[in-house]
Amino acid sequence: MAGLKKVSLIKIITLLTVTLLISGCWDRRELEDQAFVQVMGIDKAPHNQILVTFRIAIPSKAGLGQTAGGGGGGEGSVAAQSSLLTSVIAPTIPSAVTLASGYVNRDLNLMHTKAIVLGEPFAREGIARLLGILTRHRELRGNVFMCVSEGEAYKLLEQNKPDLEKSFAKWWEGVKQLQSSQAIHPGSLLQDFITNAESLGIEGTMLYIAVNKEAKNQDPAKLRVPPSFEQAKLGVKSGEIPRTGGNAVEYVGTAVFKSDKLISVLTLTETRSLLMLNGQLRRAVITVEDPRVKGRYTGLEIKQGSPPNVKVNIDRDPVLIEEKLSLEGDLLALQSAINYATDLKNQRMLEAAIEKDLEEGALSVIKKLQQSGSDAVGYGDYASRRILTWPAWLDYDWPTKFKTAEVKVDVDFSIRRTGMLGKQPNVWEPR
Amino acid sequence: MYRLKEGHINSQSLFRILVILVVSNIFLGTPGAMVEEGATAGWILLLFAGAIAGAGIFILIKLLKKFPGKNFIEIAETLWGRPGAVFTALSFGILAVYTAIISLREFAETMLTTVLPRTPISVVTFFFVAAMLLGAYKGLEVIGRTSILLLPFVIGGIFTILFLAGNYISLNNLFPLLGTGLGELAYHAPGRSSIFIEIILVSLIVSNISDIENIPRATWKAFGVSLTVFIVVEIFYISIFRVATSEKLYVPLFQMARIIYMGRFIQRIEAIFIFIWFFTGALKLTLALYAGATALSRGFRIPIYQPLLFPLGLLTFSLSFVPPDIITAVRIDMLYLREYGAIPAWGLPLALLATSFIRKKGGGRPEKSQPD
Repeated sequence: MAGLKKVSLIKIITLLTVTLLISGCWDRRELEDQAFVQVMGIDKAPHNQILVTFRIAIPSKAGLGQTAGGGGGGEGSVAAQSSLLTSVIAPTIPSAVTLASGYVNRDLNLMHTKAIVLGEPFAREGIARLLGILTRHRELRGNVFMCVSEGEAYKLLEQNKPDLEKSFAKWWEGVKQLQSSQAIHPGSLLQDFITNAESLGIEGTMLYIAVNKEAKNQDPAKLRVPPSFEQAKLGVKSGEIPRTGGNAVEYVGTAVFKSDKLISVLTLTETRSLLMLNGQLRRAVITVEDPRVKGRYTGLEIKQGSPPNVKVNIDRDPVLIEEKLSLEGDLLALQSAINYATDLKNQRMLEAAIEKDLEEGALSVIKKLQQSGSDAVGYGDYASRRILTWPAWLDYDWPTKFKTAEVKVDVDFSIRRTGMLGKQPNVWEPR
Repeated sequence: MYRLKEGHINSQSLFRILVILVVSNIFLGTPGAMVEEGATAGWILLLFAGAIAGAGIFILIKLLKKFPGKNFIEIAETLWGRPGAVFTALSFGILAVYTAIISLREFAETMLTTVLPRTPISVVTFFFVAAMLLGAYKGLEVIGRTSILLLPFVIGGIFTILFLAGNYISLNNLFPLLGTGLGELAYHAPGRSSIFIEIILVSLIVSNISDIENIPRATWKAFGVSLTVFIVVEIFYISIFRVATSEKLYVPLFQMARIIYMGRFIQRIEAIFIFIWFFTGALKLTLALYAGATALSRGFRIPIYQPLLFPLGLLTFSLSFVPPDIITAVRIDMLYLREYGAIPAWGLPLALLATSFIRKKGGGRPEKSQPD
């Protein structure tokens, strides 16, 4: 009996000791002692320094106040009011964190960083010196969203004042999600960028983000129509959307890298072509000109029917790349009276027009990528299938071969559904 | 014959113990080392290494069948006499303690790198050593039962990570298919068969297993399961991180867990992984210490192994601080233990089997094991 009591006492003491230890010792970090960085901006600064901008959450102010509607997205943004924006010059990110702690009065914590925005001048110079810290730092994770801003990142972060979201974390999550729901940007994460940038078979991409200087314009009548719109192409990128009101910051387009350097920017339509070519187009709404009535447009929701079928013939010079794409879509909008929905002959004509449009778009993006020498589609990965060993692949010099490669794209498009309507409403020209 | 009060386990527990021991190597630098030597064919290198380890295990089982119920040291004594038994026990003991030292430092360092950056390494090491000592003192029965509880979580945890990180996979990353080439793979395979050397533990605890007739089956099953898990993890690892990145990463499964993002609600799940990782590490270290103490006690005819635990634990604790940094610790593991560990692990059974054939010994009846 006494032995049993002794055992129970030991168990109780052990449990109490463990309970005390569970709360942590050296690595105990109280929430109120930390400043959580939501977004980080990085620009180049003089004398090989970097300018690091932190958007830090102020939890005590989160969700307070009212969002102000209209007015170009602005002063009333709860997300902006419930966060602190600060920029600091330092040689590295950790030293910027240290310096910022010197006036933020808390330990800066990068664990909840949702996005990293790189200034365009910095990205064009090359970001190799940054990649080491981004992957090595234990607080940053591979699913951080990577962006390049037109101009300096600190200016963009300053002007980013979300209207609908009360927190920048939520805002960035929403932006990220638009890759799959609207295909307006490549949705590149740090993990994707690093692995692609290090590879010989594919190059890295990031979201291109910019401030729309016209957003403050209150008069829609003054908006200019981008020339590409007349050809039913959304040939705009961030900063160029013809609109009034809302948050001044836009996130449309792709920043294309060659190794660690930004070399070109793709528009919305080009971004979709890129996503289609590398098999990541989950859903997009496209517009094509009506094949029978000039000046009328047809809107469709499209998606990839099956993964791309890519064949790379490395035995000939120049290398031949053949890509077959299978896409399907639903009719959303028909502006002419032509019956594309139930007349199979007309439907095939529309499908052929869409195929031609998508093929031309794809070839135009590939040409742009070849000119800049960046295989952002990842054809090199397919080429590596034709080579047996790693040393032979390293010797093959794919980036040079890609520049001169002959590329053929064959799109097979099928209309699957016609929306809630069969024939067109019989109210327009010509009856 | 000394009676060692160590408890008994059945072949089912043996299977689980062996799987956990081998699979624990996945958590640290092994997958990265495979990519360094095999590039895109890191997983083929594992197949080659597995084939060599399979040959080693075949010899080991043949030897155990030839001397039913006898452990490695008893077999050595039968064939090589007392000096042979001492030599075998010392080889085994040193290998086990060496494994414990390096693994302790690696597990502690990676704990610091990933989740406890401000905690002194001595504190983390102390808790690992405390767990080792307690587990090893309690004996094989307790270790066996812990393995039964832990294995579903270990395997389930690994496959959950692979499944959730699956959206990053690109099978193109596995090409060029032959990686560094068949010659290079064949050259590195014998050394890398050291990943599976933990399997030889079976030869030490053979007299502690209640159903000895099932030992070969349990050993092969454990080897098969471990090899499969290793290859699947390696394929996922390369196809997610590509060659250039994957050869640089420490703690690959942790890195996979960190990138998991299944919408807003399923992310940042690596905390769950930390628990699995810690318990697996602690169990591996416990078994290494237990194996070291048991080998030495049997070799030197010490009736019970428990008195050796504290000195060996202290030795492990102290020597784990000898490598000046994590790089050296990983290098010692990958360049020495996981390169040359195969020599004693597969060489000793081969030498013993060869001796038994030459001297035409063995074939005795199994001694029936009795519960304590």
